[in-house]
Amino acid sequence: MDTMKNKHWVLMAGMALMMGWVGTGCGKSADAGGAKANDPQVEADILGVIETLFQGMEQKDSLMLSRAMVPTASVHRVQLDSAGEQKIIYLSGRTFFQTAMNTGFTQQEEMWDPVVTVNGDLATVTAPFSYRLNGVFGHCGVNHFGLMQSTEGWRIHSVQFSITSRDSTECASQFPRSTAAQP
Amino acid sequence: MKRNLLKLALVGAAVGAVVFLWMWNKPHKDYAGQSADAVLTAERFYADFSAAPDSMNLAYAEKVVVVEGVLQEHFDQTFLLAPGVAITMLSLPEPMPEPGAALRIKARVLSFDVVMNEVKLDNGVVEP
Repeated sequence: MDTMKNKHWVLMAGMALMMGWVGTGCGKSADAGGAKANDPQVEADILGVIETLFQGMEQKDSLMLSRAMVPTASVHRVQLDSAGEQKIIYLSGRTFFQTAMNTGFTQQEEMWDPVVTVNGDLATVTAPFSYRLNGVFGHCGVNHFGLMQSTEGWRIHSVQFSITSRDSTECASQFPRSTAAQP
Repeated sequence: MKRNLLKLALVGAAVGAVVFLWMWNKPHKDYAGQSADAVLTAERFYADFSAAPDSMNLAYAEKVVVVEGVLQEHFDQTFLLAPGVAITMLSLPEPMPEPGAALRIKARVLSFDVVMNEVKLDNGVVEP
């Protein structure tokens, strides 16, 4: 009887261990080998990179731009045209840099409520944004950044963004937290 | 020595104040009152800019031009002439033209926006 009891406890303990092992992702967390998800410092670093990109665009500062984004990055824009057809435009990071440096106007972009997801050395940030040209509201939409961590820190490797409207009232209604409707 | 430094600081502050006030009260450039350097169709303007943005930026940046084209759509202060000339208007006409209307707009050229695939202009006024 005692032997049976002991066997029962050994079986229970084994199952508990097994469940624990499965529960932690079979011993190999998605965060293994890199930054930890939900680490406020990591999130702050990642959002800081995006802020550097926005500052680089506004100040036409090539150093800031190249600190934030690799030249081999891809930039995609998706937007419905006036005929209601979906258009996707692709730019290389290099072209994006050149454009940002050589525009004859000032660009200001702000985003809010970013959702940051970190998986080791990979991260994504999704957030609504609004864009101003020479201080005048231009459009709003959603940004989706893909970042990778290297020895130089976090840098943007891909940007996809949508333009959901170019009308400030519509943008303010789509994204109540935006400053689109402000003069 | 200290008195000289104080005098120098006061003179510097006075010069700074005068420069600041002069800059603050400097009138904005009146682009609407300028005569146009060129008259172009929106189709041609867009095609030339998208084919050679750098040389067109050099040739046209800060120039005042009249662009003739069909209004594709308008949003807030921006008129978009087909196929891709976006003009931030200085003043909006009354009544507002409907999409499809033929317009002549005088405006200052900013540059080609590769991301939006548009030629950007501002200080636009509708010409008769």
